[in-house]
Amino acid sequence: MKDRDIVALYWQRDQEAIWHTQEKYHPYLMKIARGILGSEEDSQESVNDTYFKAWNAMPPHRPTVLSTFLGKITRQVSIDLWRRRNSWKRQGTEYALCLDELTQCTVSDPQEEVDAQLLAQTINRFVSQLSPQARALFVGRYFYCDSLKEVASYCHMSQGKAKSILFRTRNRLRNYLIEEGFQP
Amino acid sequence: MNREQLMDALGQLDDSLLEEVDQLRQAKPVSRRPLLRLGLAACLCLAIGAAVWAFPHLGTPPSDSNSTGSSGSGANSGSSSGIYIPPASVPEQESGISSDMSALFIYQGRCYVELSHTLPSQALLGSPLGSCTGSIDEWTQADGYTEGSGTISGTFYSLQGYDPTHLLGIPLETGEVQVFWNNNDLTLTQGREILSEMFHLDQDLSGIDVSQWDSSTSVPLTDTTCLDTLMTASFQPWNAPNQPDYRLTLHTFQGLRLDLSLYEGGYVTVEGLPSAALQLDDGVYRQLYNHIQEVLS
Repeated sequence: MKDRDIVALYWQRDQEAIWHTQEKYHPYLMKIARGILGSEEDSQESVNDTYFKAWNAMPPHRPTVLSTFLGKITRQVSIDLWRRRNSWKRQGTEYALCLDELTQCTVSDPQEEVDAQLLAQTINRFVSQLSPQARALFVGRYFYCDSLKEVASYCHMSQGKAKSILFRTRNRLRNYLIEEGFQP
Repeated sequence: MNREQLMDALGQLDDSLLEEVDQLRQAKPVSRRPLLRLGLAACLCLAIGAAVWAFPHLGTPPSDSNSTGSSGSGANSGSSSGIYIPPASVPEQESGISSDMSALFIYQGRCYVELSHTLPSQALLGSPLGSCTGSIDEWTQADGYTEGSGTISGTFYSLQGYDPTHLLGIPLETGEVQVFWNNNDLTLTQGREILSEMFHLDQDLSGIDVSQWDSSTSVPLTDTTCLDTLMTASFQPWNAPNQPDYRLTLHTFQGLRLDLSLYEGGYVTVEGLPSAALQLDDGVYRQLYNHIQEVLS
């Protein structure tokens, strides 16, 4: 079923919408959740929450690309769930590795509150300006939390090269954030 | 700002950016080799360019034993004295355009460029020799190409049993080792200079896989005597007129792998060296082709 037809079912408050969403996007969403949570059980919980939140979000939302709309929900739900877990469980997932890597980009007092919306807009601009290759690696790694091996594979390069480009991209992001005023 | 706030902000990326990457993620996996080949050719230029930029002495055919093979009397001369693999010109940098860069670093004045295959384990790692910073990118100025700089960061090691002037390794977090080789500013006369002196394939060959150029499916060659022929074959200047017919992957017992490309007419190139080819004599070439077609059928 096409995305717009599934979205129409949500707007009609037809519960078939969830069934069709699950049929089309369950593996896709589980992949995102697993990258963040690691655990199959937690990932299932996260994806079920995604369906619930999607049901509540449409209407008023009418996404044109359902995959990214749902993917964003799954990502945030999974991150929230990850944060609720004990620290001993916070190891060994791609999300934990991504967080460690992104420490390189932070430029100010960790306790400082930032304008989340402004930060998001700044990062959007930064990512838009990257080369297609660097963008694919960066978004694949830090939005989808795909492993280094996976991003290197679908970007058709060695892991060494992917690691090298990601390292340089994180350095650039740090400098960009400083230029844009995110300074201590 | 902390890293979690950064992660949350990344969650608000534009759908168009996500969709672009999602298409790549959902695409059926394909062999990266054809792209890698093209990339390596471009990357080699960059790697060598970086080296000559940083080390102006590069570009003059060496006269000492530091170089593999005999000294060349002229760049790409194709004479019996060998083919000199010279540093290329520094690639022009256009503002705002990112270059496709290979992993490389500079150690003791030599530029080491990544091989396409990694070692599956760290068993072969020898002593740590130094570290490189990931300070080089396409916007790095000439004075940034210094000893220990590179496009990748990490500690590099010798590989046990291998000459560190040829091969070095950097361990990856996956447990693999990225192998780097010094494949520029050298003179090549025969295949043995790479296959034997650098990679010890004369002693350590465990097998040769062959595949169609555009296929990721490979099968082992049952007769590996072609290596003997490649050892004694002569290098000559090469400018590939088209795609090769077959890819040969040479394996060592230690886990090293080296890709060769086989072209019509008996020309064989080594990965990362697009401007020099070994030439097999016609009889050997026909015999090898027949054998390959036999095992692939």
